[in-house]
Amino acid sequence: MALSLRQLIGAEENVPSLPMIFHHLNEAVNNARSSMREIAEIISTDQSLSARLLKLVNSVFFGFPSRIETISHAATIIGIQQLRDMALATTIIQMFRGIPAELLDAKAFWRHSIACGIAARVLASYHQEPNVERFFVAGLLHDIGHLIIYRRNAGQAKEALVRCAQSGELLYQVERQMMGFDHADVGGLLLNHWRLPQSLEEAAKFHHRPSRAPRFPLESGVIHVADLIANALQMGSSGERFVPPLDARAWEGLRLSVSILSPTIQQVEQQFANTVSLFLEDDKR
Amino acid sequence: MGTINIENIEPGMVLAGDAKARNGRVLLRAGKTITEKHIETFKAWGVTEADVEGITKEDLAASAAAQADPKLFEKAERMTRARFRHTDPNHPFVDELQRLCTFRALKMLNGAGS
Repeated sequence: MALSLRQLIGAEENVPSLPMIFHHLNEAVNNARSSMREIAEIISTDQSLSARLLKLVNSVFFGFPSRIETISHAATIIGIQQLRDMALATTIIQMFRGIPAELLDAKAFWRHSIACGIAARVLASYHQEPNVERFFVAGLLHDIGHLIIYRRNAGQAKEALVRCAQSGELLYQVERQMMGFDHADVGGLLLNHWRLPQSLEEAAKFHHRPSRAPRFPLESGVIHVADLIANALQMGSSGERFVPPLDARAWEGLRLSVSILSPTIQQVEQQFANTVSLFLEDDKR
Repeated sequence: MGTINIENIEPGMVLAGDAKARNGRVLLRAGKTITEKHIETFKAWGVTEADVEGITKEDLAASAAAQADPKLFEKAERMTRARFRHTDPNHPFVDELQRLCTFRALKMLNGAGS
């Protein structure tokens, strides 16, 4: 029997919860009165998170010339929102590492997500956006609904994959036909359940139909285009075998020239291997 | 005249439209002949394209395709088209992405052959 969307994600025990520290961190970042020191102190209570963040901010991903030794130093240099975003990225990848491999190659999944994140970050910089890190995180999380479907509804997930392989249909459309919702809906609900910023929720929920996003069409549009690029480049895979159709209105909304595609792809290719090893191989120490 | 990507701009080409930085500032006016130095400046200012006299994107794509091994090129095109089957090939974004992916596939096929 088919599970409904609410059933899939509704009951508390069905979905993994974010570590407590992240809720404290989120509250502190959203509270205008908290100081940078308070935020650094919250992060510092988790040694493994602190170590992962320091490794990130000292990597070529950020490319700072001098070494950053402490979390409070990192907070002053990259800003508390970006630090929160990076904490979120590394925390969620850690949480979902133990996905059973028979349906989904977890590494390929995160490689696709990282490629989308990098492409989103590059597109956002062409759009002259401040804080491009939130676009990286939005790209990283855009397909997270797949992980919930594979966990909770493995039978239908497998059926959908097999059907797409035979018929050449698009995975999200087959999901919609079979279950009445797709991985984008599930991802949006999960991020909402975690009380993450609404821009992340909309970017996940509307990444296949960004011009329908009510409040964050820009974020949703960037992730939509970045997802097309990641699929076209075949960097990793979330199960989709084709380049999804372009939402032409969303592309127009970004007001970018197609001539940015060539340098964007070059930058994604340059950053990909490093970023993958940074996020996926960080506990071999 | 035609708008072409920065990596295809060569010294001696003549600008058909102003070359502008990302912030809108004009770096070189239409009618000027492009030098090596101009190209460096364009790149430094994040220019990704320029409108030049006498050459179009289509010309460049055709001559790049003509230089490739026709069998491999056809294979690269076929592989890429299969992945793009759900997209609208007439949209400029899709057209450009598909073109770039075709040449990327060609490079991989060439690499595998040698």
